[in-house]
Amino acid sequence: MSESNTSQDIASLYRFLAQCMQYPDPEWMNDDFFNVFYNLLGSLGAVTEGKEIRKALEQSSDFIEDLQIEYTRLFINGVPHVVAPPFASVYMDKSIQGSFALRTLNFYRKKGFAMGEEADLPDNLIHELEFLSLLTEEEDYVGEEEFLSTLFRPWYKCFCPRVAEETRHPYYRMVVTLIDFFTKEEEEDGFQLNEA
Amino acid sequence: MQYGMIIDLERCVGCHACTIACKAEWEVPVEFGRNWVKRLGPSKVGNELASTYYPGLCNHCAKPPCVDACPADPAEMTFKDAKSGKTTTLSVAATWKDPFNGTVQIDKSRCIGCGACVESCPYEARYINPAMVDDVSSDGKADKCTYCMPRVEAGLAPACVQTCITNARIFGDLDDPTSEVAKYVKKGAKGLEPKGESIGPNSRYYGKKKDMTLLFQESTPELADMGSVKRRAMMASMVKPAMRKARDLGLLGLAGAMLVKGLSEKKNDE
Repeated sequence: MSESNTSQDIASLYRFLAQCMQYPDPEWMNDDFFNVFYNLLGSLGAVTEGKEIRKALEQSSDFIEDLQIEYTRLFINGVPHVVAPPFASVYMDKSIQGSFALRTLNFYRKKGFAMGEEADLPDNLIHELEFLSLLTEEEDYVGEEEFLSTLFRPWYKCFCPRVAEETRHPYYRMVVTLIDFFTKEEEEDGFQLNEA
Repeated sequence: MQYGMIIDLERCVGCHACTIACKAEWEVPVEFGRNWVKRLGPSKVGNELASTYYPGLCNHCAKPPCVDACPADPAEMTFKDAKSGKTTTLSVAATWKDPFNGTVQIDKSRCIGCGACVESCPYEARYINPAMVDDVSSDGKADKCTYCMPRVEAGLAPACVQTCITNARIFGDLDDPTSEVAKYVKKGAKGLEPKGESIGPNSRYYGKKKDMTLLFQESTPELADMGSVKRRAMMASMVKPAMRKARDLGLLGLAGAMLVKGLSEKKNDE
């Protein structure tokens, strides 16, 4: 059935975006991964951006290490400070694991989900994308919209420009732009991948 | 002209002959239906007991949300008035409302199978037929009641109308005041409008007050959030090739999969 195919494709997309935001590791960040990544960019008309990323990766002697360094600087432990911690509370409560994280956890629970044992904080971007994937798989579109508008977009729209402006690697600029593109409400004039 | 159908609840006996005739005529897959008959009640309505049927089908609405939802690239189509021979050319997506006979139709060759129209129809009158695949859509094509236009154009009645053993289904031109359907509307036949909306359903119901009350209580639908329907349809059609590739390669869920898992699953683990 196409309705479930649609859900499956969107669920896969959220999961793929979550994957893109994982710590770079050659176990998953391989040729197959980039094949799909460029394919996705191609279908969105972002061929130039894809070429820019490909060039950056090809020019590097160890692109995984480059991306690991950038990931750490952006999201884990930068000097003098981490650029953009991928946690909602940082932007909404100005602290880590604030009330926004609890609200997020409560939303997961309301929908019948809990955190796995090896999970990070509930308001971690990766978990939120995985949660959106699970909601979409269940075709809970009302839940998806509610989560996006009340718990995801409010912080993501602060997080995204921080990464996009400060990153030194085109890969992360593109990943956060993709997440932004797929989670924001449809604009009146349709989708615009690059608003600039 | 606006084709419409009246369903006289006073005559319907819930035999499902209409649903079977439709399936047979249009080779509708077993799991889907272009029309349906649901049993309602017995329920208390006021101080009376009511029991009736909800024989449903596409309403060929005056303002069909399914037409607005279709994201397929528009194409020029020329329509012809069967009576006067007059033609007009309009730019339409893969589904449209015919400017002459008022029916809502689908161009299967241009349908991308995204399911946006299926989701947008408050009556759940559309489905994706997975058997209809081509280069445009590997998922199938949207399908629904056409008011049996190919039969009507050949001078026949719609299959469900022809087969109805009690003549509970009446088909005709609602704009023609001498037609039986228009007379029913004059007598009070009503369409099921979605909650708080006015989209002008042209399949209408006529029956005892208590049965009509029960029908409207039980079967008044709600309109879907169109913004979100469109967003999903656009997203899915854009990412489909890449995401299918990702699934084929087993890429999804390699790292950090299922960090959020079902509560019941967690309890079982414990």
